[in-house]
Amino acid sequence: MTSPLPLLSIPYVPLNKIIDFMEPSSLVSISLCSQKSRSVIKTHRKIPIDGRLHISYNDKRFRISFNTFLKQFPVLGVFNLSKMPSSVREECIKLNGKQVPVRLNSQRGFLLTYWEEEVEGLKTLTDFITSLFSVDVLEITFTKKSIWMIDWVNSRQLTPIATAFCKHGKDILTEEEMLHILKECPASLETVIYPSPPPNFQFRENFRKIDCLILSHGLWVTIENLLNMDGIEILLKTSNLSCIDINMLLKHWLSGGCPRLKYFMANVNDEGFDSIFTDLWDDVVIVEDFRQYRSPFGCVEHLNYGYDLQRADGVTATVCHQENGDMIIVVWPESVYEHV
Amino acid sequence: MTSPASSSEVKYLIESSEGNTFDVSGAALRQSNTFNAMFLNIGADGPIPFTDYNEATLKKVFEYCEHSVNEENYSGPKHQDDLSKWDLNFFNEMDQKMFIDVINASNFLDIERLTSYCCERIARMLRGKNTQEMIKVITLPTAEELEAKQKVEEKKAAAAKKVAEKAAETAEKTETLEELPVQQLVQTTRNKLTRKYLSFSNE
Repeated sequence: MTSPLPLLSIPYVPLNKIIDFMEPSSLVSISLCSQKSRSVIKTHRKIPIDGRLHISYNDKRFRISFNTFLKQFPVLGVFNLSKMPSSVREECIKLNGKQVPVRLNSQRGFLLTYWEEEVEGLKTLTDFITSLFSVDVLEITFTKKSIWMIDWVNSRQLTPIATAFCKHGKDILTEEEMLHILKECPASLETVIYPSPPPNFQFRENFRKIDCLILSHGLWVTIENLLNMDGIEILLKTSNLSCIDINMLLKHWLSGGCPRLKYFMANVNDEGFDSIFTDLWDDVVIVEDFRQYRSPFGCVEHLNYGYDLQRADGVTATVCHQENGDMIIVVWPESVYEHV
Repeated sequence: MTSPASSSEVKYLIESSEGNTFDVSGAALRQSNTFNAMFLNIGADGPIPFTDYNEATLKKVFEYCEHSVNEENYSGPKHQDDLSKWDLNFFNEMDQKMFIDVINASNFLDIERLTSYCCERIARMLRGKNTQEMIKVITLPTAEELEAKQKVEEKKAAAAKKVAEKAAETAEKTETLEELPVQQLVQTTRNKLTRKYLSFSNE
């Protein structure tokens, strides 16, 4: 980089091309240079950003990124001013009349910003990014400490959240917090909850339609909850479900219930495996061939054997009980899912 | 010297901003949609003047065109790893000024492949830069420079205002002078002249 690069004096056609080729983090860096550069990026960017706008918090810092199905492209980090390393020489940018210290994450090439009030920083920068790229926040990752992000995102846009990810398996949520996530977080695509619910937690309402639900602590999920769920993929890493409950679920599916179900996994600590197929043994076909099931949400399941059941419309499900107690139901064929 | 024949053997003379001319093959030139639209069917009687661009830039552009004569139709830029060694050397030899010059010329000549590759390379150059580095690289004024510029503008505006006010005052005085009766005006002028004469004769 010896000679200057007067980018903004390049004719429109190649300038548009350059802007379209640039990565989101570079576009953010340039747009923070001046009002003019910001308006040039906003006006000339023609190709939509590859990925969904994701805001995350891990109890240490906020991060704004664009997520695709498999990759994360961070564009900005938001830290408390106290966490600014003294050894690093920071620069300042002017945002909403404030001087904000920034430095570059040299490994991944995006800007880290430091604020006295990092929540204010997150909100300011989220407004900046959503305006710059004309997008809404579609994914949030939060912890017990930052459940407020659900209400904040809901209030700042009409577009519903697609993915909500509640982190920190060691946290214990209160009943109010758990209900808030299940009821108020309208994540149509994927909801993942790692923290535990409070003891004796129950959810008596109907689940809203959800494509993928992953619960790290699923002991509270009852068979009634399951029969009411309209999901594509349901994973309960722990559960209190019995083999009789799974039998009920299978009968429900055979009679047309849970019509979108493609993948179900629950850890079932019940030795009475035979009761899974009570009243169904005549229709069960044992298959010992190796089969692979690729879930539309990224999980790949290897089935060394299974019990096939066919619904009246010809759709087949395979039931497989793994050695570790995981009860798996897959519905063939694998679904094709449109990921952004 | 030049002909509209489609044979790749045909050479065309190109004239640069310095007035220098050099040969380019018809096959290379035909990668330029601008050339195709302007000269392909009618031919050119003398050197084709691309006089907005210097010789070094034009030679670089047509060096690329000559090299990619036999390449397949352009279908989007290749991944960095898919670029040939020749392509990599070609781009690595250019500094940023040359990139801008080549982009400008290639954009005018409408050579899509070269324009896109150059644009992609520039986007690559801007990866992993913080805002201050961006400001330096793309030669934008910094916030401090903008502030200083604004102060200068304000000072200039204030000075211009003062000048305007003075001019208005003078105009007012002139108007007052013009409004004086002719006799009085003659007397005032005489007085001035007398004073001047007296001061001169005293010396």
